[in-house]
Amino acid sequence: MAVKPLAAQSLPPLPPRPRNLMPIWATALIGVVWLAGVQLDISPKTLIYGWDDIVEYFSRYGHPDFSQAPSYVKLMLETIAMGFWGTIFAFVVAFFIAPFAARNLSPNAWTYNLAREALNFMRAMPDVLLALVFVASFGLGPLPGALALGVHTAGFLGKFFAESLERVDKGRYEALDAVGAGFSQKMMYAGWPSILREMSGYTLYILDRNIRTGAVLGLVGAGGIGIALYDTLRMFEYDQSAALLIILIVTIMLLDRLSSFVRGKLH
Amino acid sequence: MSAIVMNQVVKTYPNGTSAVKGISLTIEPGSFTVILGPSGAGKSTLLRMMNGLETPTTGTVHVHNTLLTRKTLRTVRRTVGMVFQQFNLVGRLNVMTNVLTGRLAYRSWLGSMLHLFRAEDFEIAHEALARVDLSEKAWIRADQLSGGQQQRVGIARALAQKPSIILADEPVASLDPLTSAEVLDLLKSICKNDNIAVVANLHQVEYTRQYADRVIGINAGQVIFDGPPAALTDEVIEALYRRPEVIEEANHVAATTLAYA
Amino acid sequence: MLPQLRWPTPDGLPPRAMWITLGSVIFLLVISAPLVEFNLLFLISKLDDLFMFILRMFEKPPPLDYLPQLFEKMLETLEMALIATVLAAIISLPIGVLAARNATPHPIVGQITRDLLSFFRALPELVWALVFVSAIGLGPLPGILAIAVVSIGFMAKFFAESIEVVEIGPIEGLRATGAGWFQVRYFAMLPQALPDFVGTLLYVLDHNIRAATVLGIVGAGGIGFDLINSIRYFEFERLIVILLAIYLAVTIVDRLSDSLRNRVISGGGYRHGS
Ligand SMILES: Nc1ncnc2c1ncn2[C@@H]1O[C@H](COP(=O)(O)OP(=O)(O)O)[C@@H](O)[C@H]1O
Ligand SMILES: [Mg+2]
Repeated sequence: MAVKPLAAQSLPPLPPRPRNLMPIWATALIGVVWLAGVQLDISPKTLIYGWDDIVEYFSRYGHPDFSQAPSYVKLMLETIAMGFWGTIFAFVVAFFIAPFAARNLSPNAWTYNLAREALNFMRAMPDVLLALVFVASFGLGPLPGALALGVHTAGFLGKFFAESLERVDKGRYEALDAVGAGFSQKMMYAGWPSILREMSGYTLYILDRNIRTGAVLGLVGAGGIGIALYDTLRMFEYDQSAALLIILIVTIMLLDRLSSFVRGKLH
Repeated sequence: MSAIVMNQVVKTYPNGTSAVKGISLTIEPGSFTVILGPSGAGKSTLLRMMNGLETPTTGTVHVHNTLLTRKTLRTVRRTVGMVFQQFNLVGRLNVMTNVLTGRLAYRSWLGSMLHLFRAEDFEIAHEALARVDLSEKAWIRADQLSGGQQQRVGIARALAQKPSIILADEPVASLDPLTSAEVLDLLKSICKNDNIAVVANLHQVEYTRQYADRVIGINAGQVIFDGPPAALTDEVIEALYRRPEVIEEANHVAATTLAYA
Repeated sequence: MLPQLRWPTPDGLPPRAMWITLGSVIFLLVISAPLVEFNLLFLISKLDDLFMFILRMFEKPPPLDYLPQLFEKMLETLEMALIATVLAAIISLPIGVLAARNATPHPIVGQITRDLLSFFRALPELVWALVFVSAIGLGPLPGILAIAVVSIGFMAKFFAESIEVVEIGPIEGLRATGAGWFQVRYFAMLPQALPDFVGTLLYVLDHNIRAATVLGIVGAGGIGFDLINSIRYFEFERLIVILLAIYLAVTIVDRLSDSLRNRVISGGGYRHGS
C-alpha cells in the first residue's frame, strides 16, 4: 500500500501503554533458578548420560513378588489407620483452635495471635521431622506416626477452618450477637454450620494426604508400609519392593478416586 | 452471490429437543436482518448454525457459496463476526488483546504463542476500537468495563475480523434501553457504511421495527413470517408469540384438514 | 426434674447425616485402634520422655561453628525446592491442558494423562527420592526430581481442574472468530485458569520447601541429612538450631506466598499485556 488511507491517519490516539512487567519478572525468575542450578552443580548431562542406567534400574522392578502380600496388606491397613487417627486428631485440635485464629471471632488480639502462631508452628514442622522426634521419645510404632501426622495437619486444618470462618457473612455473627449469644454459642449456631461443607471437604483432603504421607513415615521408624519398603529397598530386594510399591500405588489411587467421589457428593 | 444460504436445516439436540424444524432462507449481502421470536423459539440455534457453532442434524449451510463443513469451518468463521448476549470477552485480557483475537484466524498458532501481533493487526484493531469509540480504554482489562462498553468491544472484535457478515445473538438483551439503542445504532451504521450483512436475534418488537430491513419471524423452530418490518402487523406478532403447542395444534389441524380435502 | 430436651428436627432426634457420620467415625476409630497400637496410658507415661527430649535440646549452648554449614544446607534446601517447583510448573501447563476434559485433544489422551498424574501423586516425595537416589546416586538432583514428579502430579491436576470450570462464553467467542485449536486454549482458557494456577503454584512451593527439608534423610540433598544425623548421634544442640532454621524458612515463605496470593487473587498486581 503506497498511501495510507486518510481514515487511518486520523484515528484517535491510544492512551499510553501501561508498562508490562511480566517479562522482567519471568527473566528474573529464570535467572535465579539458573543460578541455583549452577550452585547446586546440577547439569542435565547427568540425566542424559545416565539415561540408560536409569532405564536399566527401573527395569529391575519388573518382577513383583506377591508371596508375602497378606503381610503387606496388613501393613497398608496400618498405614491407613495411622492416617485416619492422625486426621481425627488434627480435626479435634483444629476445631478448638480455629475459632480463636479467626480475626473476626477471636475474643481479643492476644488469643488471636497466640492461636495463629500455634497453628503456624504446627504447620511449619514437616511431619517426617515430627515423626523422628516422636519416635525418638515414644519408641517405634504407628502411634508416633499418627501423632506426627496429627500435629502437622492440625496446623493446616486450623488455618483453613479459620479462613473459612472469616469469610462467613458477618451478618450471621451479628444476628447471634444481637440475641446475646456467647462465644461458643456463636460458633455452634453460626460459625460451624455455615462452613460445614468446606470443613468436610478440607478434612477429606487431609485424610487423603495423611494416608499418602503415612506411607513414608515408616522410613523413620513410625510403622506402616514404609518400614517394609525401606528395608526391601535397602536390601536390594527389588521383587519385594515392586510388590510393595504396587500395593501402595493401587491403594492410594483407589483412595484418590474414593475421596474425589465423596467430595463430589458434598457439592 | 448471497451471503448465507440455508437449505432445509433441521436441528435436533442429543436430548431430543427439536429446536429447528426444517428452515430454508437466504441472507443478502449488506442487509440488516432481524430474527424475531419468543424465547425458546430456536433463534440462537438457527444463528449458531450459520457459523458452525452448531451443526445441523440435516440440511446444508452455505456461506458465500462455501459449504460449511469441518474443513471449511475456519476460513468461513474468519469472515463471519459474532456478537453475543453475554459479550463473551476474555475478561482477564485487556481490551486491545480481546480485539486482536479477531485476527487470530489469519495467523498461525505458533505466531500467537508469545502474544505478539503484527503491526498491521494492531492497525486493524486500533481502527476497530476507534470505530466503537473505545480507543481510550485499550489497555484496561475487559471485565472492568460496563456492559455496554463490553458489547462494543465485542463488536470491535468482530470488526477486526474484517467480516462480510456479523451475527448478533440477542446483542442487547443484557443491556439497559439507552445502551441498547447505542449498540443497535452502531450495528446498523456498520451494516450500512461498511456493507456488512448483519443478522441479529431480537425478541423486542419495537427494536425490530426500528432497525430491520427484513424480519424473519420464528416460533417453535419454524419460520412464521418473512418480510419487511412494515408488514409486521399485530396479527403476525400475535401469532409469533403464541405458545408453541397452539401452533403445533394449528399445524396439525391444517395438515389433517388438507389430508381430508 | 430434668427438663424435656429435644433436637430442633421434626422427630426430635439428631439429624441423620450427623449421627451416621459420627457413628462411623467412632466405629472406625475403635476397630483401627489396635492397628495403630493406641494406648493412652502408654502415651501419658511417655510424656516425660518427650519433655526430656525437648529439654536436652537446650542443655548445651548452640554450636556457633555449625552455622556456616547450616546456612549452606538451608540454601541448598531452598534452591532444590525452587528449581523443582519452576521445572514442574513449566511442565504442568501443557500436561494440564492434555488432562482437562474440555481441552484435551482426545478423551483417551485425557484419561491416560489423568491416570499418569494420579500415579505421580501416589508416592510421596520421600519414596520417589529413595527410588531416584538408588537410580542416579546421592545429591540434590534426585531430590529435585522427586519433588518435581509429585509437584507435576498435583499442579497439572489442579490446573486441569481450573481449566474445566472455565466459562464457556469466551471460548465460544474465540471459536466464532475462527481461532484454531491451540489459539482457543491459549487465549480463552489459559487467561481464565492462570490466576488459579499462580495460587496453586505458591501452595506447591510452600509444600515443596517443607518436603525438601527431609529428603536428606535418604541422601537426596538438603538439610535433612544433618537433621537425621543430629538425632542419630544425639547432637541435640545442633538439632535445635536446625529445627529453628526450618521453622524460620518455612514461616517466612508462608507469609510471603500468602501476601502474594492475596495480590494475585484480588487482581491488583496482575495485568496481562498484549
Ligand atoms: N445445547 C442444547 N441442548 C439441548 N437443548 C437445547 C440446547 N440449546 C437449546 N436447546 C433447546 O432448543 C430450543 C431452542 O433454543 P434456542 O435456540 O436457544 O432458542 P432462542 O434463542 O430462540 O431462545 C429450546 O427449547 C432450548 O431449550
Ligand atoms: Mg437465544
